[in-house]
Amino acid sequence: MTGKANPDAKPWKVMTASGRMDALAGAELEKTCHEAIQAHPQVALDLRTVVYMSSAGLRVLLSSLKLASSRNGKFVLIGPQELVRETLEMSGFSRIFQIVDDPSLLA
Amino acid sequence: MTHLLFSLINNMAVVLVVAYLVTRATWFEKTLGGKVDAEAQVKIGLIFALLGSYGTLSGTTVLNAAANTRYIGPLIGGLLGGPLAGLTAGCLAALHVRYFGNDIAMLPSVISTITAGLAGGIFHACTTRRTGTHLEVTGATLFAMVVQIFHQSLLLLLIRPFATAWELVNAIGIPMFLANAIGTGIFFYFLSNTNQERLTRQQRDHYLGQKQKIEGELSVAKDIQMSMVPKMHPRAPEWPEGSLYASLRSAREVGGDFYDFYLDPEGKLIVTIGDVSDKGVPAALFMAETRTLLKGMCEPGQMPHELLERVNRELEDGNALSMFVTLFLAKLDFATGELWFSSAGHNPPLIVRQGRRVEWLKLPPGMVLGAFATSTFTTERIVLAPGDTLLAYTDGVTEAMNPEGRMYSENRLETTLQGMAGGTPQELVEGLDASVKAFARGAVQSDDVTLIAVRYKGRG
Repeated sequence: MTGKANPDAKPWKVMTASGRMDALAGAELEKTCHEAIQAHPQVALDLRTVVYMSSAGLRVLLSSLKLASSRNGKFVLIGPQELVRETLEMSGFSRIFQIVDDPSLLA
Repeated sequence: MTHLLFSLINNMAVVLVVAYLVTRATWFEKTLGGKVDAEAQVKIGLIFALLGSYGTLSGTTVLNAAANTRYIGPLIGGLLGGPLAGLTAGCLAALHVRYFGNDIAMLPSVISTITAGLAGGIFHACTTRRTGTHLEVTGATLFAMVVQIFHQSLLLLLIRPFATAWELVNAIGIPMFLANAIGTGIFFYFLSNTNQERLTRQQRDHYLGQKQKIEGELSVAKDIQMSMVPKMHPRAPEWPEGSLYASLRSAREVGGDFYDFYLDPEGKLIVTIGDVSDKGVPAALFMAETRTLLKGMCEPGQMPHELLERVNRELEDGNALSMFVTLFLAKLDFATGELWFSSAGHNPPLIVRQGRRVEWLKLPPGMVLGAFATSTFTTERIVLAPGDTLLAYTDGVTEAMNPEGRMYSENRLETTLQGMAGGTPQELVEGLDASVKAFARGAVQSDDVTLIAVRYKGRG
């Protein structure tokens, strides 16, 4: 469907994570995600280049989602790869998070 | 003039060697930090007075005037120790000149020697106040040059007739200037090296201290973890209707895995296995809390999903760090072989049927524990026949990596288990653990590796 974008739509802030989302990368990523969430009502995390997600990575996702919810904001995941998707499904996160394949699908 | 230059350089070398040895002394090293106490100043004063005397004694006579490196001693003494050191060195060296020297340059030399020491000391005090340290190669060298010029000027001023003075300065001026200035420069270069060593050593000690602290914490985490899991020794758990074996191999940074089993008030066997997010002491503490809640809130006749929901609400409350734990919880009825189970985001276990066929146990969906207070869970039921074995594990098994970066994977777990399907619980657990270890081939273990096997023997 073509047409003008909804002028009332709030803008999305897209953050990108890549490589291994584990304990090492987690602390830094959590900081940047939280800062983005505090500054923008709608934040999306692009996971398309993330190859592995450990429980430390999941914890960052969880704490970010909780922060966004507490501010009535949104925190959405973009394009997790096969292995990461399996991790999200097994942990139950795929039922709690909104996941889109592509940034263009952010509404 | 060249002969004079070499002679001066020789003397300079001696002074430098002695000065260098002094810098290796422990009491001297302490002064590098900044403040030089009175005792150290006097010591420095005496040593460098002696060096001054050596300068006087070893000097060459030119035109009946001593050309030497006598006030390098007091100058450096002052630069190093401060005004007291400089004055001590200067006065003592000057005394030597006064009473044992006998040349036309004696008066200027006496004045220069004392002045050099005192001025050096004042320079020390000023540099320390301005930059926090008295060790400055360029500053010291320039200062030595200034003192030289001062001395040469004194020679010109005080020696009569002026023609002689002029001749003297021409003959010895430049060599003395060079020898003293370069000597001072080199000496301070030694010193800054020594100081650098000292600072590096301090840094190293600081880091060693940090490292010890961290190792201490890791040790505490491991102790907490190990005290919480049931031991397999001296006797592996065994009942008439079944047997069980488990193992937990901690990663260096304890990963918060745990397992537990016990008979509930109705005599049914409860088996749990879980994996806390995060590592180290926080994970170990969260694991301890989870385990305690599981045991404490367990009630007869309760379905696994009910227990998970109650424990979940408790864990979520006051969980500021958004930690969570995956959990597989099963209840085995020895009388009927019924296995009731529920899962909170945990890995699907395997069942070995009759010691032959391996199949995956399909788990109902469930959110990890501690994340959301309103999470709900489901209980499912299968029936074990006598001879069937349940094998549960944590992701430290399937996600174990080898040096090439490949993971052990669920496929390999299934295949390996199939290959040892006839084994006892102990054989299965130990065999799989060994298989994971062999696969990793020495790569760093980044997560706890936990396995638990329960065999149902049936009644009668």
